[in-house]
Amino acid sequence: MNHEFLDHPSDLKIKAVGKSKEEVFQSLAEAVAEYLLQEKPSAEEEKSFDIELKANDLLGLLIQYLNEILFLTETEGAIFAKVRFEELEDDYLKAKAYSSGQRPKEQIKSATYESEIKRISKGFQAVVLFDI
Amino acid sequence: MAIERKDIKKINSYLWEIPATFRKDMKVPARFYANEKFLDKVLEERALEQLINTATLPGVQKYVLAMPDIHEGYGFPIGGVAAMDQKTGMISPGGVGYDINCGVRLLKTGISFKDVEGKKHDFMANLMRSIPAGLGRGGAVRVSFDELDKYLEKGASFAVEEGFGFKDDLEKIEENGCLRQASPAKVSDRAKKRGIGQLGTLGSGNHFLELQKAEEVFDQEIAEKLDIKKDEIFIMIHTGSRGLGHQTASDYIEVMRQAMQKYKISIPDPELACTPFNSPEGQDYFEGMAAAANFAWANRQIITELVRRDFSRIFKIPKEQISLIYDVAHNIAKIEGDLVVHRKGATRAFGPNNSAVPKIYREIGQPVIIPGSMGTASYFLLGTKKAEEETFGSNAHGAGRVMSRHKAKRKIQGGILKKELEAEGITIMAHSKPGLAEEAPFAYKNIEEVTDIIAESGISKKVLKLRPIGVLKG
Repeated sequence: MNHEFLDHPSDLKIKAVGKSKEEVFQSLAEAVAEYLLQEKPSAEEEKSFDIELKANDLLGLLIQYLNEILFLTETEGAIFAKVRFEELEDDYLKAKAYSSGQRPKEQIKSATYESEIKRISKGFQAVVLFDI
Repeated sequence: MAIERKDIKKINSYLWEIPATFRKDMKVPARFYANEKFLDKVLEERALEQLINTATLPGVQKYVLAMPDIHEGYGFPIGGVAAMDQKTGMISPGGVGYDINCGVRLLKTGISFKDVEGKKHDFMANLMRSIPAGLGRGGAVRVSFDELDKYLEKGASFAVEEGFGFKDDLEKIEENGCLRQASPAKVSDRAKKRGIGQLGTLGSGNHFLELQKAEEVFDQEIAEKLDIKKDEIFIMIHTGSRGLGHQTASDYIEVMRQAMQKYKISIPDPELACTPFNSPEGQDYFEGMAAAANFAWANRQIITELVRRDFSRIFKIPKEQISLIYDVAHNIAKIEGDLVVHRKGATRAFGPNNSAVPKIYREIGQPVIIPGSMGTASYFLLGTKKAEEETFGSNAHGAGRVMSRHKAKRKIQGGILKKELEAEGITIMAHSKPGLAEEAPFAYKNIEEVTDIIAESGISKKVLKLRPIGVLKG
């Protein structure tokens, strides 16, 4: 497992590590899905949605990406645990997010900037605080 | 920088101050309300550092404040109040939060506990069907995008025009349920898409709807004036602007993060992203936030009508008998006098003879409604002149969390908690069982202590203690 739910007095804090940015971004989508479902998401892929985002920096890109997943979750009423990246730079990403047909049981309001993403010796690590 | 006991100055038994000299970038002192018992806990938390961060914002006035229910948020702490000069000050989405105009409404029914006891379960089960949590599924009300814009522009009054409730309700809502600065054009299409199916929904997290009984009357004279009797049944609604507000906050944090460089503003925490109130970005956010606030007031107004329908049918009383006590926002930024007051997890609490207080309460002060955590008591209090002098007319908003949702869930299962609360005579209906455990009473500060602090410090006056007998949780 590449993600971990950390303790926080009021909100949801998730840590993810991976060999690449793609792995970290993907792990966070899975963690968000797991929280929204209150169980592990299924592997089925029902429909795909295009995501294309630009940002000033990698943290900005990560927060916008997670908020895009939350936007899709709420407007489609579905879970998005799988994302395939066509491009992922520090300030740009192009990807497809796949809905699983499962329905969210919980809600996340937003990813917040009380978060960080950084390079570590074996790849990347992110800690993200979500407002729930 | 760790904050120690020696760094804080005691103003009185309930009020403490961190002087502006504590950190070089502070422009004003940071004050907080706490008793000796809360003090050590507060000093351990990051919340106080977050409060100090807000004291660095350009244009901040007098002092920044935290209520006794202070706990860690993002950017501003929850329970934080900061007033900015309209001309030179900032506006910050982080000072409002993601759930714009999350707030509380209290309804009076005029009937007694013994009249509802037998059919309480039936009523709560009906409510659960009438008022969805609204997670991905649609709400009870279908509207077009054109109609949605009218809700954004006119708030609760448009809900009344559409048949949700009565005209008389409006005067008993903060700002009459509408911030006139609202501009639907300043709310993104994405936010509208997120919110369009969510009018008449409760949401999840700490949002709830409770059936309560008046357990203790603190001020008999005021209770008589308002025709409130012990054991009378009340209904409390706690929800906000749902996905529409969350998206509006996220959208403008991005806008302000970009714009800050232009205004050469440096802040100690990225969630404090802000621009001058009078800048185009600041005004855009203010008008968009006001529209989202109106959506929240409309949402509580619509839910009120759904409650009235079920309540009047099941308990056989006219809908008109279910009247508003008041509706207060606790996540909002507003122009009050010359100031832009940010309240994030704090309630407005104006005292007697303030023209913003509806006529029926003008002599006694504005009703302040403070919900407890699930299964515990809630309070109805009144604002005071001292609050206007000392806290920019602000008060606490709830119990304040002390334990993470994750830990609460590890400590108790939703099903077991439900049984425990039912053994205390509380009917529980929950759209989500794990969500129920997250809101376990032990995860919060004691509401009695929070209300004791604000009452004894004189910034509010207790009227009524309400005990839940039915809970609907999103």
